Amino acid sequence: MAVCSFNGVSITGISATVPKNIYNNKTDNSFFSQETVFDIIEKIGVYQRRVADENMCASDLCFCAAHNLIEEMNIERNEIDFLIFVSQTPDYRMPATSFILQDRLGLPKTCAAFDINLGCSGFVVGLNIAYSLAAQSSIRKILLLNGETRTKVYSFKDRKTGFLFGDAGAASLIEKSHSVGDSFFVIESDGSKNDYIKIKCGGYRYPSSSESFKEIMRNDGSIRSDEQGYMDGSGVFEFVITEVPRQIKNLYQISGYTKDDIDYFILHQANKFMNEHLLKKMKIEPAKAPMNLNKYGNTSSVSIPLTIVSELQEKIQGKKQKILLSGFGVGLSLASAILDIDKIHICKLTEL
Amino acid sequence: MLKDIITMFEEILEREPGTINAQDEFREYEEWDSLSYLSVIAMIDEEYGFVIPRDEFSQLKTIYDLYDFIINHKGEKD
Repeated sequence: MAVCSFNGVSITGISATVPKNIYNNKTDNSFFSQETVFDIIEKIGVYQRRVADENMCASDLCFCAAHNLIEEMNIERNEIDFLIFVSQTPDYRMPATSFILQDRLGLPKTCAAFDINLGCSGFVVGLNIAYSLAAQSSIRKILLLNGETRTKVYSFKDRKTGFLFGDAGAASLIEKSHSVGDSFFVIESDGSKNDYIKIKCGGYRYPSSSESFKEIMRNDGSIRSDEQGYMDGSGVFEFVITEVPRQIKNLYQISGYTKDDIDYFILHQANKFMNEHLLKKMKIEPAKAPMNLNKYGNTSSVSIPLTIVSELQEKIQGKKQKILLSGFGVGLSLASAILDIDKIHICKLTEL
Repeated sequence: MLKDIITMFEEILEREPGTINAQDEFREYEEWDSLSYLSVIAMIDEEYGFVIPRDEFSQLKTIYDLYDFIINHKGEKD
């Protein structure tokens, strides 16, 4: 069972960046009728999202967020021993984007760099790995970067995904901290549902071809090519509302904490309908579980740090608290954590 | 409880009270779509505490079938 616990390790800083370009779901999509648009956005709760232009990559957003974090916190670059970039929209198929960021950020050659290919669970999984590394006596600081340009992945003519996703990047610093207590992580996988969220073509199983780029009309009237992302929305919904509450209940048992011990619940911002259902089912007060879907949409693995930055900066910064995080999605993958945090530095959200 | 399920359909499909009957095949309603499916699954989970698996839901035709399914499965899971 992938259950980990740590003592004396913490996130100590978070920063996030979004593209300045705003896409208005109500007015900017001319493919669907106004009625369809209204029904979809009321359900998913995404009124606008940030869209990277053709020259902007996830790594650019992460660079900006990381640069701000390093400058504001006066982080000594030579003390960063690991750079982890979590994304499914890398700059290149090779090399890993973390190397490009290591160079761009001016990090030393003594810093290890690698990418992790994960989506909505990627912040919590990346954090678990970062905590494991930070627990090593020789390791000083770890920079965890989460970046996505999801709007480049999905068809804007697909009713299941064309209104949902936004672009963003985040940077988090993880290191030892004597003032924090225990933190707990649990990660689970269900690869039998790997088809639920998928880009079929462009890898090595189904390489790109003239066929794979053809736009095809699907059963529900959506148009998408096999180079674009597909999502089985109802399958994901069934999975999430069954498995996430179960995993979080398990996390309470593992940690010995109850719902009442938690100051804030930061769930992956999947869509309003599903997130609200999760909160009701788990009896979590909405005031303790902020959402920013209306402004930024679903930003995959960036959504948890982005929510902390955009909604909780004043409420978390500098305080000693317990927060619960839960990310769920492509894989399918599920990861939740309860963190003991103290004096986190949270940078103001920036635009690029 | 059958009445509660009928009311649930009236709310989800935004229909006037009295326009939905237990023997109706709910997929035939003009208003039925993938979003109403999600609403039904969510409301049953909320009211009766379980998620109907999609392959089992696809076997259910009428509102009465759904009622019957809930009666037989209620309390199996927490």
